[in-house]
Amino acid sequence: MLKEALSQIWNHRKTYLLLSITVLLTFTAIGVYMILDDSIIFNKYKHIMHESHYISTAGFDRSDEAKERLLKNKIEQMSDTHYYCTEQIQGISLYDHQFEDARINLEVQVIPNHIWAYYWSLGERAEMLDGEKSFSVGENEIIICKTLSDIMDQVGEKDYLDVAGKRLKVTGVMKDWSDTSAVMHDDGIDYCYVNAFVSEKTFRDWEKNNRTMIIYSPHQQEIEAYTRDLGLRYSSVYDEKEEMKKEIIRAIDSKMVITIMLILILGINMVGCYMNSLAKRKYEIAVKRALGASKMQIIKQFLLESLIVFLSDILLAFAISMAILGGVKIFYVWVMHDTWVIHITAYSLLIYAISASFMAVYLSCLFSILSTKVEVIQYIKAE
Amino acid sequence: MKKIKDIEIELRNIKKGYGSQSVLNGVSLRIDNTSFISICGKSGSGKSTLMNILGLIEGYDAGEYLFNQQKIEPGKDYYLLRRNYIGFIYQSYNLIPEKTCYENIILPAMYAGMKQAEIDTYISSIVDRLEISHLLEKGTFALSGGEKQRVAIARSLILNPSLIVADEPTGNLDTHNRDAVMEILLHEHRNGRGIVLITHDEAVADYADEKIYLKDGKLSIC
Repeated sequence: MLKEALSQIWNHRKTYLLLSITVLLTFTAIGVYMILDDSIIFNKYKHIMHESHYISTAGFDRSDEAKERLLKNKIEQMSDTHYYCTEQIQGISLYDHQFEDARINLEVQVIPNHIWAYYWSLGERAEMLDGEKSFSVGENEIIICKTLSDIMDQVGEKDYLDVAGKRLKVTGVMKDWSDTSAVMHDDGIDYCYVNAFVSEKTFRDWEKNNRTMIIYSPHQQEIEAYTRDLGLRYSSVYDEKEEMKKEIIRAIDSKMVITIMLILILGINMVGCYMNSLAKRKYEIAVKRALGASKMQIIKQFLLESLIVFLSDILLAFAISMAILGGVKIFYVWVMHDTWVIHITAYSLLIYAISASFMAVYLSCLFSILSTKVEVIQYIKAE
Repeated sequence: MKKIKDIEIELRNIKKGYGSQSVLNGVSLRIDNTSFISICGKSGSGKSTLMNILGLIEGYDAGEYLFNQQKIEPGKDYYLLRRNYIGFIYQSYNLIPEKTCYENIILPAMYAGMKQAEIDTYISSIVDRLEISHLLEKGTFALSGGEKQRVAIARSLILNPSLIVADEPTGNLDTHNRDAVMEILLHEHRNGRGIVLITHDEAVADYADEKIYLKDGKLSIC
């Protein structure tokens, strides 16, 4: 039966090709829409996807120094708790005429007394060039990233860096984070965004802007309550994950509506294609029936033909959708110089699978049942 | 070669019409493995309708149809009896154009669930007898009328039927091919198959043991 179904698919390839194009276009559109939507949400939240619920942030304005001290005192009393602060500094000086007009954006990570550092918006841990993840930095010392180290090499500075009027000793080089970037050429720097670590003591004399404190602690509820009591901005991986879940749920409704609309249009087209195909094949059905094929055998053959074509199309449509999203990813990586992850949620996969299975089974059954509504004598050619 | 199964068909006062037009008006007929009957009649006399009723393709309005003593109900689908006992040959061959000769011949065997080894053994004896071995891999569109009819005969024989119902089998053939086809049918009859031949060609009808004329929906012996 399978052989006969495959043989008939080949014999009626023009009809099936037309049908396949309709299915491919519809399910590719559904696939691209679902994967794109999921990927957009995922990439918005990717920094927290695999992160512990123990991470949260507190934000301070210029006037919040007292509150910052209170929060630090509270956190330092908690067990298994780490924190550090992060702030952008633009007053970095590299004494070289080539870089006179260079704009170097330095994001400093202010480590209180120990070694834990986690880059909030990227979900990456700080790591030294040799792979060491534990490090500390003393007063008037700085640990810089690889890109900044390379820039310093170019201008002949090796051991010291002037930041906001302070001369700091470079005590280590860490690996770049993924947002580290520098556009350099022989005459200077077009743009530069680098990271460095300094100690709390080094940082205290600098002018404070908007600081963010990143906290790793199993006592999240306590920290949240205290932070909110102090009137500080607070967010956590847990909150963001909850927000992401809400966003995914909100997207399901629109996905379902669009999927239903598309499969309705597909259904109308498909019924037309099937009726056209059946009209052409009534003679074949009549001959087979006359030769002793049962109605069930005819149903099985047409069901098998339709399912083979439909399911192949759906798998191909999914592969094409992934390929199109692969193109979007390449665009992000090569043109936008950004990372982008292709992602599909279980919800979307379920909607895709249910709509595909429903269409495949429903339309194939319809096709196969209609195939037996043939009056044999009308199509058996006699005298 | 497998033994040909016994068959006994009895039509009693069969009536059939389309709308207000009566086509068969009380046809009675008895057929078994020893029968070689030709049914003659003008175009539109109901020969093909009679053949379709005999071949269990079409139902009847009134009367009684007994197939091996089993009463045939008009609305039911007797595909198993059709498959196991009856082989059809048509004037226009009714081959499936997308298939090769081999695929056309084995089609009934495929639906009967015959094993490939069994098909291969049986088909070789048939195609050798009909001298169409060289045509098996060809498409049917490339064949002459005589070749197409031989392929159709091979297809009708693949399930070793007890009765061959042939509707104008030589209608599209020249004299040489007509005689060849009739010799094949005669040979099959001698092997123990009943033959019901529908024709308006007297020369073809003469091959039969019994000639019946269909007129005004009734049969009369010539």
